[in-house]
Parts: sequence; C-alpha cells; structure tokens
Amino acid sequence: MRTKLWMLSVVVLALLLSSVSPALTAPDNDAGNPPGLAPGVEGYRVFGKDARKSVVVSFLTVDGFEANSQLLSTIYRSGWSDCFESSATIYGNHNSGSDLYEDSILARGGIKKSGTGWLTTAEQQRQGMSAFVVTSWPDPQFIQTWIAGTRHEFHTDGYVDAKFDTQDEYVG
Amino acid sequence: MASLPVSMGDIARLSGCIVLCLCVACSSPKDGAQGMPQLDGVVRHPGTVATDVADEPPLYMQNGSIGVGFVRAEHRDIPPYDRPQTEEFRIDAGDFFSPYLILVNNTDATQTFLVTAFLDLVQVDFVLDEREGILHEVAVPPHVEFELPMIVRIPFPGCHDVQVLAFARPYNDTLDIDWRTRFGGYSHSRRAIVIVGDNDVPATVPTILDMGQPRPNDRTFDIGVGFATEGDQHPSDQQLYVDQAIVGLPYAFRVWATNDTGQATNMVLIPLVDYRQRPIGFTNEASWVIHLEPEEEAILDARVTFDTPGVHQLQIVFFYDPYRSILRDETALPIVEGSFRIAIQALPAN
Repeated sequence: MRTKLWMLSVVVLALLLSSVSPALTAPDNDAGNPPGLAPGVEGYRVFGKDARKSVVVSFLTVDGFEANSQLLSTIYRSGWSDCFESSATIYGNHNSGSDLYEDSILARGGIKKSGTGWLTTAEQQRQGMSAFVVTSWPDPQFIQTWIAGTRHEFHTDGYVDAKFDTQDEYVG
Repeated sequence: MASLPVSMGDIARLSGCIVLCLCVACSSPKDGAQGMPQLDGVVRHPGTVATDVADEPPLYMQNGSIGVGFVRAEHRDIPPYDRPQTEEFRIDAGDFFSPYLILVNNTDATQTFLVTAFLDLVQVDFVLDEREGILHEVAVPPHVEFELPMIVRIPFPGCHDVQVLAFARPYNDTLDIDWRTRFGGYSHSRRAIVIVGDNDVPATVPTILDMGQPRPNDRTFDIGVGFATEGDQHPSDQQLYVDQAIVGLPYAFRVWATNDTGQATNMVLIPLVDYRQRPIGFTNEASWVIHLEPEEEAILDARVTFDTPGVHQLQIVFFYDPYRSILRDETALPIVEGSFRIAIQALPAN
C-alpha cells in the first residue's frame, strides 16, 4: 500500500511538473540583449541559468490572502549579468532595465571567485530606464570558477520597490 | 504498427519529470542545515500556505523579483502605475499610519518573509493583517501580490521616517559563502516620510558621526555596508561572511560603510542580530548615523555575544539622509538597503 502511495505521489508530481512552462527549462541565450550592448567578446554565447531575469511587475491586485495570479499587464523590470574572459582579464557586465522611466534604477555588480568574497564592485544609479556597469579583474591563471553577480533595484514614487539578483559563471 | 496512446515525446517528458521529482524530493530545502536558534517575537500568519515548504526554493524556482510598497486604501482600485506617490504621507495628529502593505512575489516559488518595521530608526511593534508583532512571518504564493492592512502607531506629531523590510529566506542557516555574498542580503524594503499634524520638524535628532575617511585609491570594492573580521588590514582584504564564535564570549568584528552615491550623505546603519535590532557597537548604540562625503568610508569596531548555540544571522539595514524628503529628491538614494546577511555559528563553550 505504502509503495503504491509513493508511486502515485511521484506520478502526480511528475504530471504537475510537466506543466511547468518551457521557459523555465529552456536554455537562456543572448537573443533578448538590449540593442547596442555586446553580448560577449566571442559574439553569441549562452548565458547560465541565473544570468538573466525578466520580471513582470504588474499583477492583479488581490485582497488579503486570497491569492490570484491573473495578469493585468505585462510591464517588465529586468536585468542580467554576464561573466566572460578576454585577454587574461575576467569581465562582468551588469545591466538593469525597465519598461518604466524609474525614479531610481540601480545596477550593482561585482566579480568574485567561487567560495570567496568580492574582488571588485561597481554600481550605477540614475533616473531612467536602464543602468549598466562593467567590472573586471586580471586572471593570469584561468583555473577558477568566476562569478559575476548583480543586484538590480527599481524605485518609482507610487508603487513597489522591486529588487532581485542575477549571476553568471565563467569556468576558466 | 499500432500507435501508442501516448507519444514517445510524452514518455520522454514524463521520464524527465520523474527524475526531476526525485531530485527535488531528495534535496534538502535547507542548504547545509546548522540549526538556527528559535527566534523571539515572530507572529505567524497562518492564513497563507504552509510556511515550512517555502524557506529555500529549488534554484530553478528562484528567478524573479520581490516587491515591497504601500498603497492608500482609497487608491487600491487604481492601476499600480497610475497611483499617487507613496513616498510621503500626511496624517492628522492622533491618526495611525495605516496604508496597505504591498508584498509582491514574482518568483516561481512560495516565498516566506519576515516582515518588520522601523520608526525613527527604531524597530517597532506594528499591526499587520490585524495581528500585532515585531516580526511577521508571511508566506506569499508564486506570482501573487498581497495587499495587507498595516498600522504603525506614531505617538506624537512631527516628521517621521518609516521603513518596512521583508527578509526573504529568513531561516536559511547555510554557511556557504556564495549564498552569503549576495548583494542586498535577501532583503526587500520600502521607505516613507510620514508627517503627523502640521508640524514637520524631525521627530528625533540623531547624533551624526563625522568619521569618514577617504577610500584607498587602490580599492575598487565598495558595497554600501559590509562586514570584516577584526584586524589591521583594509576591510576589503578581510571580508566576513561566515565564522564561528563561542557562546557567552564576545565576538569582535568590523562594520564597513562606504558612500558610493556620488554625493555627501548622512548614512543610517541599523544593526540586526537574528532580525532584531541590537546594539553591536562598543558604546551600545542601537543605530549609527554617519556623515560621509563622496568616496569616503567609515570603519566601525563591533562585537556581539551570543547566548544560545546555533547559526545566528547578522545584517545591517541602511538608508540615506534620515528625515529628508524622498519626494523632493533630497536623499542620496531613495531606497532602503540591506547589507550582506552573514552567519556566525555559535558553538557551546565546552
């Protein structure tokens, strides 16, 4: 009986997960890069899974705890991180973008080796629809897993402050 | 050949999902559980969903943003981007600050938050969804926006500075440095100036420390507020994210604040230990207000003593130019930020 229940649970979970949007599992690529921004020194490249996010920011408002996820509109706040190597240097591109003209939009980015603290950081905060910074760090050895991490923050006067992180890895 | 009732693609997809299910089922929701001590003062809001499943979503479900904001009751029917500003409120003397608190979860997993409020640089009890407490545990389902009635009692007239913070993944007790190095430390927030009555004089006059010093020219690392171990080297060379301490013995470290806003500012730092405001300076301040010119930094000695074993969470909430108008762009940055959320594992004395 216990085995049957276990198998039933697995099948139900499998069916639930099979309805997960393909966008969750499809490889993320450079197709949606903002115009004018180079996607990396080698041209086309595939981002890591956590490297870029697009976030719908307008949802149906619901009372209290009565949850509902119907969309009212599709206004996006988005951001991405890109970690790559060129000429013995590790680079991080950090970009925040919004469909809105934000009172404050911030991209705070940094480069680190996996398992350690940050080596270098940079940030841009401004009014507008995008913020972008580049970080770099010399890497004479190329035998590390490098992480470019970015904090994206958005502020408008009448709605929510939205924040999220992205990161991309480069394995030397 | 007779056709199968399901296609080979469906079978492959189902197989993949079963493997994925097993992987998810076998993975612990808590990364490297070390054991957090019981938190005091947490009011649980059970009307949502089971909160024990939402602490650490699988990686593939963490994409998306968290939003925190306010909306006045009379503006709830207005589409979000047509609503009037919520950076400054004017209320009559004797009234409560009582907007709805917006909590947005744009991720693919239920997110559990500890929600807390600060009034005039002090963490305060407040009412959220008709329940009062200093820390409110709220779980928000994926892709859902909550509007929760809140009340912050403001006992006297004047200009007041209010911040509401929602700490995501509050019970993750991992000692993984890569988890701890996330900018913002999994905190989400919103700030408002509340003017009570006709008097807009600041409610408190914080002592402003003038202890800024130029940032060393060879440093390209400035992150708002960070932590460093005790020592003589620059904090960027002694970054602190995880460490161990002994129960009952003071643990010494440093707090490091940098002004990367490009303009002179008074920077407010409110230290939290296990999400509760607690003095960590040598002179027992519950908060610091530090004047920093552009590209200046301040390094403060700090210490904390833990009474209970387990993994303790340290974080600093910081914002700029208290009591200055956000609406008129008088602050260096309009947002409230969190430092890295570091973990100190307190070990028994024996």
